[in-house]
Amino acid sequence: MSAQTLSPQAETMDQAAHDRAKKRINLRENLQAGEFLLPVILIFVVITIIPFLESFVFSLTDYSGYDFSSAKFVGLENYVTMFKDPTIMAGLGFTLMYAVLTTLIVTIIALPLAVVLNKKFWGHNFARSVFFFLSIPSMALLGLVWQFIVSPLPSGAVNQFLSHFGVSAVPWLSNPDLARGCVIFIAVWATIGWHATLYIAYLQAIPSDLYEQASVDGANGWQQFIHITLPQMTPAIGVSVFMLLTSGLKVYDLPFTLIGGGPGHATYTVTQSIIVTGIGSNRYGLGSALGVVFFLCCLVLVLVQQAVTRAIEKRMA
Amino acid sequence: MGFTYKPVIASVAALALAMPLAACGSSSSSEGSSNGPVTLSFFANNTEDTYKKLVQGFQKKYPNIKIKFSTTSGAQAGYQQTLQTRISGGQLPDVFVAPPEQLGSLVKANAVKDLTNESFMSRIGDENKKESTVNGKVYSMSVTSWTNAFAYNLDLLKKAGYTKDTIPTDWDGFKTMLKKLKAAGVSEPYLEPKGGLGAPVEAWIGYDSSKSKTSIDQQITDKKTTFAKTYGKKYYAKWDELVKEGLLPKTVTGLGDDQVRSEFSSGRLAVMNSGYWDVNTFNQAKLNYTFGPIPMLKKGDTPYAPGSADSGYAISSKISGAKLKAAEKFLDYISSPAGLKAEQDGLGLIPATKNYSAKLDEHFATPYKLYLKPGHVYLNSLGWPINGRSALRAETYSQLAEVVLGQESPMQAAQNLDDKMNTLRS
Repeated sequence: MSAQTLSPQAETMDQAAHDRAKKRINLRENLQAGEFLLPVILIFVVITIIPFLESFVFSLTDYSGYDFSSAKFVGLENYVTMFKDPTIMAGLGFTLMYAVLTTLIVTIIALPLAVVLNKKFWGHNFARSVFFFLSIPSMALLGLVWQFIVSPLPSGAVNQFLSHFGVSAVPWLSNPDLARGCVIFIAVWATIGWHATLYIAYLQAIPSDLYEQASVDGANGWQQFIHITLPQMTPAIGVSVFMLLTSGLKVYDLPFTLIGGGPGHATYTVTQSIIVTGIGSNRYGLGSALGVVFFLCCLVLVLVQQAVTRAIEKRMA
Repeated sequence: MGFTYKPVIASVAALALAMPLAACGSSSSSEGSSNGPVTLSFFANNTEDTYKKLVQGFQKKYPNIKIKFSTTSGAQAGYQQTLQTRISGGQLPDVFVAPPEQLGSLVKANAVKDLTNESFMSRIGDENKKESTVNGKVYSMSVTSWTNAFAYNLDLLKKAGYTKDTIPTDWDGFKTMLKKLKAAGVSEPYLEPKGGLGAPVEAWIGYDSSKSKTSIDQQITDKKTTFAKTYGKKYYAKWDELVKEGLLPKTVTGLGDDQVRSEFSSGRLAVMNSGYWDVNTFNQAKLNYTFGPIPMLKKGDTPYAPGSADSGYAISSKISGAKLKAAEKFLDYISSPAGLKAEQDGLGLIPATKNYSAKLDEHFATPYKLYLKPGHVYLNSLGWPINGRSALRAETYSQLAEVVLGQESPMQAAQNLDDKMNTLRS
């Protein structure tokens, strides 16, 4: 029997040894990767997992935020109180609306904007910088500035401008629908440049020969966008949507500084509820219950978004 | 076998992460030697600039004591939250401003020293002591008081035929004045900011509460009455007349304090709810103005205004020895004439102690005489449950905004406050 013709038994043993060796290599590689991941995992555990578990424990007590040793176990009482409080429920409605609408609008506008800014034209670097700079000031600061721009008074900047055309003062921040619109508009205005920059980075990684080949085949600009750019940008859209959704769900600073969550409860958010009803009122137990429920809601929403993105990526691949 | 750097890098990175976290741990309060220099940490709810005069004056008098000042930027709620976080994290400042809303919790957490028998407390007025008292003991030293008052633009009032001496003191008279101002071409006779809607309501409740043993808000907390039976039926319903008669526009639900102040300073607004803290702004704007009465519900009602003792200064219960003595010296200096003058100049607060007569800006003479001197000030939230005052106060403004927008009646707004109160009691 020659060396080349092994018995089936020997072949199986050889394959098993090969698999074991491969597993050893994989394990070693995983351990090496783990060493590098350790600091990140540690940070995640310390600043996310432990506080979350702590919050869960707090949510079952009447902890006031001062001395946990004197806190009493109250079971699910805080969760019951939370669902009975109408202001908390009002906050949930606007938070979801804000997160979904800003995500949709920013994605719809930032993508074509990135395509335009990615082209070579006179002053394209300046144009990119202008859009990116909008995202540099904090949302809290933008809220304070825009408060004077969209003031419902005739002396407000926008109303003064409109008065030149004979338009009477528009109640920008004193009409619930307009106030919600203003908050969403400012958020879109401020974040669009940042997300367009993210898309530009991905756009520049698309091989140019794909477009050259499409041009030779007679595809116009729109067809190139739909059949080349969009599929190639799916991972970028996934990242952008994830970031927009998570930051949208925890929104607080912009509606608070712009309009204080009003008029009435029109722009009230869940985070504002946690701060005002929980922390600001020395009711850490209730605030923690809110935090726990909201964390779980966000988790579900983000997992759904991730699953949808993966499915789209697979289909586009 | 070669030396592998990866575990070392990972360990160093983990250590680098752990070090700043370790720094978050509790620090022991060094007591300081009896003769050497002592450093006192002082945490306050205003900017370093406003406290500069007070701190410098104290350090000049006691060169061996250094004040390490810290503050929070932002509103009172932000200060309270930071103080709470510092206490729960074991970072209690040696001396700090203790807001009355928080004092009960601070005492419960054993964070503040009992000041009842300190010598400097003999200078403090009874009203201020009352608001710093928990279970019969005084835990903070409140040396100033605040009151609201309406600011009137006298040039605009003149257009409607009013002078400083004919400013109406009752609700109907006030509404008539606003109507006359509108007829005279003043498009914005009166505005309230969204975070201060219902400005005269507390004054009315203050007067009615003065006629009974316990305040109306305390009775609501004690379940002896409700928001609906008091606020809804009487006070909010009367205040809503402004909206119904077109004297308070819907725009107020979208206006911040600064925007209303800016309208008044620029001479467009005739009347606004204000206080001594606005004196410098109005003087700088060179307005012809005065601070006058808040209109009461009926003619002959004793004038009351929203107001209370200001937050007091507290000493940490965790310090002792030379540090404690230094902290006591600091409070002694704050309540001395030099300290009170520095507070008035720097912080724009009105001293209310037995040992000092405050010299106030002449524009504020009427409110001082009407409200602060006789102690006719009232703050509804002081009668509400300790763990929920700020949330309930924010809710009153949100509910009144719904009333202005026509989405709720005054009675529904008050009923919603009852619902909110029930969640606070549970």
